[in-house]
Amino acid sequence: MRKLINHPDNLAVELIDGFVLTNSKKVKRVARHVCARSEAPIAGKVGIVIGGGAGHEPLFLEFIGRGMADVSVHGQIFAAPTPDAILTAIQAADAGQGVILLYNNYAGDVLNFDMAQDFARMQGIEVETVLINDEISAFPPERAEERRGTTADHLVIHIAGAAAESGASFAEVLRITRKAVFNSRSLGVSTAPCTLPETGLSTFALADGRMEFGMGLHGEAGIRQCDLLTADQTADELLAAIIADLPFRGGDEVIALINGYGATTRMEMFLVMRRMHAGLAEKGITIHASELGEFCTAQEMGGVSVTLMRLDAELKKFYDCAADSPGYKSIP
Amino acid sequence: MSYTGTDFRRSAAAITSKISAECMHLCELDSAVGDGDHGTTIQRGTKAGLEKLQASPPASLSDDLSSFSMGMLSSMGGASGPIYGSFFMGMAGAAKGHESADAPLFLAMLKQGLAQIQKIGKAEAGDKTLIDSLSPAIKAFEAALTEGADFATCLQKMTVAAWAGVEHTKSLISKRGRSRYAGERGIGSPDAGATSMAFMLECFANTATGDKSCAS
Repeated sequence: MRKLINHPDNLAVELIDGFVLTNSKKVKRVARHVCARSEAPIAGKVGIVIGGGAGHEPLFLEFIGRGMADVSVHGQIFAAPTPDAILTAIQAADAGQGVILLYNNYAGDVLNFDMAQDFARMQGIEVETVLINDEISAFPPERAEERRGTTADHLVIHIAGAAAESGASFAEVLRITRKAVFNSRSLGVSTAPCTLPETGLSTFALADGRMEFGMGLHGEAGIRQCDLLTADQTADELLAAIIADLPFRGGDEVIALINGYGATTRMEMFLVMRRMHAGLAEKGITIHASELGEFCTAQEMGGVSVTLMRLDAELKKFYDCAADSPGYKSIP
Repeated sequence: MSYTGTDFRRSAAAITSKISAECMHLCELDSAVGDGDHGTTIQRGTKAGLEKLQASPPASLSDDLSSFSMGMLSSMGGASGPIYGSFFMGMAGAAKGHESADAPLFLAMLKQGLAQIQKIGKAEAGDKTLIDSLSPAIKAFEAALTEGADFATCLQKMTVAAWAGVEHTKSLISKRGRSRYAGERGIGSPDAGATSMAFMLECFANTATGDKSCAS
């Protein structure tokens, strides 16, 4: 174990304590596992609730704020939150305009969020769910509904949040959020495993000098192990698979994103970004905006993921709106 | 012999201490294909379930099962929270209106627990989940009961079949949850959920028949 922690049972709560203390002017604590932007619930605005297992910071915890989500709810490290915590989050986001649950497509999350959604509907709150499923490696396109959510998260959350902030109706925010998910694709590669802070155990084994494509955010197995490639080769391979999947075509306009999984240097990320720009230019795909950094981590996992989101005029309009959350800021 | 609310309180204590003792073992099983937190998650759930049970005055078998279930559901999260919570909730549902369970009612409780899991989790036998120890365990209980065995024998057969089910999961490829991404890499390793379920069934059997080995 090489992590600074206290008692493992208190990890998630202490993590949220620290986050709220750091950002006390902008966020507030709602419950042990729930925090919200200070203004929530906001009159006249559709509520956006995000959440999932902790340990992926800044996802989801730090993505609450203007043009982002209203409330985030966390489980333990890499484990979905409980139904009662999610219900509390829904209530905290509800200003009478309906609440959208926006989270990654994993069995545990779906089970707990669905239960909470049922409870909230019984209380008369209008609630709908949008599952994020941008990761392409685990299932072919025709089984997209089984795919996992990964590093497109903050882009989708921002578009949902910006649409809600604009005063769009519940049905409109839902439609726009689903469109953002539909146009997002991601694929990553791991170069080093992560350890679970609760146990100190490594979630998978990966020898020095090896890499694995399609590794999940919790160390779940990927699709192919190989000897470590160069940054250019890695970028080419990730990009080719992503482009073929939607497919992205010449003339498309995209957001091009490089995410570090936790132990990746910015140096590596910039190298991959450099090659990605060249690869997209070759295909005639225009980059509206590039983003680089740690948006969704898996503890100290090494490696990067590439995310592309195809934009139309509407998605571009909302992407270009301001985002002001502790974990993600974008100033138009 | 019959199984009462008091018996369930002893079962719950036995389950909690057994899961605590096996916590790291369950984490290691899980880390073969998943993120390795099954032990800590189920330990947190059983502890919370037991605390909720001990904080409430002795009630009916059904109410006690349901308190334990709610304690698990509100503390665990992950996929296992709703799944294990549903198991005990299903058992509680079948026990409703009964002071104690005889062998046929206990079988009905197990069956309803399984049905509740399948309703939310959608898993089938062979998917390498807890169903692969629970389902053969129930079948063995039922077969023994049909042959005229007494309650204690039914429970004993149930436990043996649960562990045989765990052994069988070694040969299976996971089709549910995050472990399914491991594909064939998961072969050779027993399913962590099937294992924790077998520990629970063993504790049910031991406390119902008065064997305290599980509670130590």
